[in-house]
Amino acid sequence: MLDEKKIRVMTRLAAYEEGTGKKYMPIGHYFRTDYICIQLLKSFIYGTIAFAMIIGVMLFYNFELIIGDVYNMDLVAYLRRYVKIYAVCMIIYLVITYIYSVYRYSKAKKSLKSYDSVLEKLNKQYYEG
Amino acid sequence: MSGLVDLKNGINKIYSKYAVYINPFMKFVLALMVFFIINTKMGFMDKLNNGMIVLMVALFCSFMPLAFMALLETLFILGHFYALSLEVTIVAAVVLFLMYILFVRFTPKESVFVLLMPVFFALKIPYLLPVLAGLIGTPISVISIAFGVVVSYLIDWALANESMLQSVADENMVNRLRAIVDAMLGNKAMICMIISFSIVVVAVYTIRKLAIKYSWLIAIFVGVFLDIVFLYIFMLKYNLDYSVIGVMMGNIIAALLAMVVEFFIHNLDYRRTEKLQFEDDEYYYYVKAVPKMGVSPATKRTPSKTGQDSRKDSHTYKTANGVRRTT
Repeated sequence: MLDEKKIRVMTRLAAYEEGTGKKYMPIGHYFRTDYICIQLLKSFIYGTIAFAMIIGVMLFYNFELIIGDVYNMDLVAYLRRYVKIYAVCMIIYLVITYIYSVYRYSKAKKSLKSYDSVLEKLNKQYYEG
Repeated sequence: MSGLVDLKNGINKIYSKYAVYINPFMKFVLALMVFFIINTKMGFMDKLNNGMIVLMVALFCSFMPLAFMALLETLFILGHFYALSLEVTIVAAVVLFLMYILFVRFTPKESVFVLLMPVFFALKIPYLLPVLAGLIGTPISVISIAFGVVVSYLIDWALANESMLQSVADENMVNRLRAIVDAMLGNKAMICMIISFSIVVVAVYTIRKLAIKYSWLIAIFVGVFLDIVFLYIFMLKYNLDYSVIGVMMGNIIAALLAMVVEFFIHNLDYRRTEKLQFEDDEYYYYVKAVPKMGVSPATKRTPSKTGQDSRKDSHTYKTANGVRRTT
């Protein structure tokens, strides 16, 4: 026979899994430090690609200047300068990523906690029924 | 007013009943509009101008997330740019790629503002988006609005310099690329619009969060007022080529459309506001309960610590953690 109580709880669980849960459930599979580390690693890779692209466009922009002046340039000084800029940009981006990841993880955990409590309720209903 | 509220309730009822069909249909219409406007405005690549392709892409978008539509629109824009000039494509691809890998990966929904900005630019009402971002988004939307403005200005610039970009004589690739980067970085009209829109987003968001009467309406009016004032100040100071009437009319239309949005998602009856105080073991609550328009004052109340509260006449209500409960 149909158990209306169970159906109601299961509907709520399914609705969560299809809605908000889709966003938060993958995060819930990680430990906090693992999740943050993965996000930081991703940001490091993406940030490096982005920086390389910007440098590429800049080199292209100054192409004639660089070609004409390549033998007189202090390449080491240039390199050092760009490494410094890269380091500063990356630190800023990684700090933002860290703050965002911590916030998102705690939000996901909070959301999953209420999902777990409903799941627990359903579990109890099975034992009782 | 009660007629409008009835109409709203009727629409809401129909929407909740047929949401499964209405959502894809609305996405389809939006996609059709977006790709049609992009094609009409740019239209450099003949293959993309094909109505059948637009129809198929729109159909495909109707059951995909909005972020996917934004990605397809990006590809459409890049396709048209590619047909015009490789250099513009490179600059646009770099800007859009940077946006996706640095920003949109955190908040995919924000890509909608980037998606809509060129469309609203074409419709001459880009002023609506920062107001909407402030109303339904967060201050972080400033970044997506800024990217949207950059893409829109890049399109406008490419259209204005079509002949230069297509000419092969006297110009080499590096020079053309330099011209594009210079035109973008030195584009005061674009930078001023980004600053102005950013101010609007932050102002609208801050005001609509205040626990004051008619906060959303005040936020809309202050937002468009600030937009007009700042754009006029920038126009006079830097001798920019904004249209005086265009800015004014665009902002007025933006305010009216934002009011329609406000009516559907945040229509409160401040005349029936109630203030109450109570306490439990841990907190003392100062609750301000503002009923939604068109709802009878009796029945359910859901207090919260934040000070905002709402009453509903139905038997379904939302708990503090967003779970819908039925009594």
